[in-house]
Amino acid sequence: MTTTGLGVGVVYNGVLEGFVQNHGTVLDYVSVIPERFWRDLGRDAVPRFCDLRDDVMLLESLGDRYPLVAHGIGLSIASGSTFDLEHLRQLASWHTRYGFRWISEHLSAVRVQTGGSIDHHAGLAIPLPWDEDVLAMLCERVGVVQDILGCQILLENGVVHTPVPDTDMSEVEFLNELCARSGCALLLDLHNLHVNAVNLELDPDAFLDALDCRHVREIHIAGGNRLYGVYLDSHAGASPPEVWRLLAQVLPRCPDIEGVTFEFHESYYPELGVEGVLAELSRARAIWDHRYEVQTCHLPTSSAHSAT
Amino acid sequence: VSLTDFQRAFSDLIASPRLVLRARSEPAAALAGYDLTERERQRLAAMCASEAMEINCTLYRVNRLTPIYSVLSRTCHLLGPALASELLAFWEVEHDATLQFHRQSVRFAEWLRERRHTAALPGGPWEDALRFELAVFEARTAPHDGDAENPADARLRWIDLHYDPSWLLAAEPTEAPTELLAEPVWLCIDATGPELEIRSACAS
Repeated sequence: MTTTGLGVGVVYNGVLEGFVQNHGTVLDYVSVIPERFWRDLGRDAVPRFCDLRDDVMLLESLGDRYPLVAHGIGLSIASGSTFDLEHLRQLASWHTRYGFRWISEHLSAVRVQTGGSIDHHAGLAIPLPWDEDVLAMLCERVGVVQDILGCQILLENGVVHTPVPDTDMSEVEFLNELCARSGCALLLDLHNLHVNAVNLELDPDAFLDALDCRHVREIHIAGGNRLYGVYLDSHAGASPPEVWRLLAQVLPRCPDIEGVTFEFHESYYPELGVEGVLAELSRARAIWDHRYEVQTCHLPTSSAHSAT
Repeated sequence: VSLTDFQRAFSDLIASPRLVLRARSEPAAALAGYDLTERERQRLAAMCASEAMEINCTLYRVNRLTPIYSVLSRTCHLLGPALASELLAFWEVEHDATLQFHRQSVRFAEWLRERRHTAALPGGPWEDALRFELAVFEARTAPHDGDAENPADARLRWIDLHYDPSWLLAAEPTEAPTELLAEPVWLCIDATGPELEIRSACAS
């Protein structure tokens, strides 16, 4: 069985206002970062969150026109020091207000304990150990997240430059287990996979072969660039050919896919331009529209899947 | 606790290339202050030995700078060579960072003002840029309704400037003036309407 899905969307940023007005029909949905629409005044503040009204008005106008999906950046679900339930309740209240079609977050730890705080922002996602105890902690937290949000959460695979060595399982085994045990879904970021493949000399095809694609509900595509010889997940424009190849390969394997989302950083918009964004969306749509034409029966090869 | 300290240690490492170098040569000593299992100690030592720790340290700086630069870009430019040392010193003592643009910018502004107050940082046009950029950002992001004490004024700000303000108001970046004005001038930053308006305070 396969879902119809929403189609092709974009992660909204400030430079897209004109694009949406003039070319809005090429979008099936808009993905928004909720933390861009409110101000977090800190744990001690009462109230802690306040709306950024101009941005909220923009969000409401987007919501009048498109299905909205939320792509959170602030939860830090894998932090050992903190699990921010107030942040989660704020997200839930926005879900009530705007009826997001789905909600995703990053499978990451960016907030850490310091002498001054339990949630100091580390400035970079901290590599996760793919271990049983971390998996158990995350499964418990996913349960709380889904209870509070009242819906399934999608978690996104990340980028790592220094992976944690000697882990209990591989990343893909961990993702399969996390989804199977907790009931969360996967936001498969193909550019993040590509970044890791380039820098760590991993085989992205082996990763996708081992992935239980039944858990994938959204796919991100994006571009990157190099800094000091390292390939970065900088969202610097058009998706590279390898990302398109991976998309065409994996999309037919995802029976519950809801959408393919292009993301780029607004500072690269002058270079990418309207035509560039249109080209990305058009190419994604072509792959989306033909995703089930060649049906393949593809079962994950990961031994971890046998536990499900 | 163990995962918490593993993450704390990694966070400290990416913030301090010096600590990474120490962890490469003396891992036991460098990681002694953290409650880690032996496995975690070995993992961190192996991660520090990787050349890729250098890109982690670079990305840490880029990501910490982004919220500040997004709000205070002209201030950053005008600080010139002092910017890097001020940022590093600020980050070293700031142990509750956030990626919220406003909070980070306000905190860095407070840091710079304190440094100026104690004469650790010489004054100059950057002070005008700081007042101007912070006021513009605050006016633009304040609620339209204001609050009980200051109704409808939250998006209206007045600032005093000590250098000719035309360079700050120019659409294209121009060179900052170097001569102090005999008397400060006041600008009104008005974000109550659909477009931001900046006018001389005496005209308001």
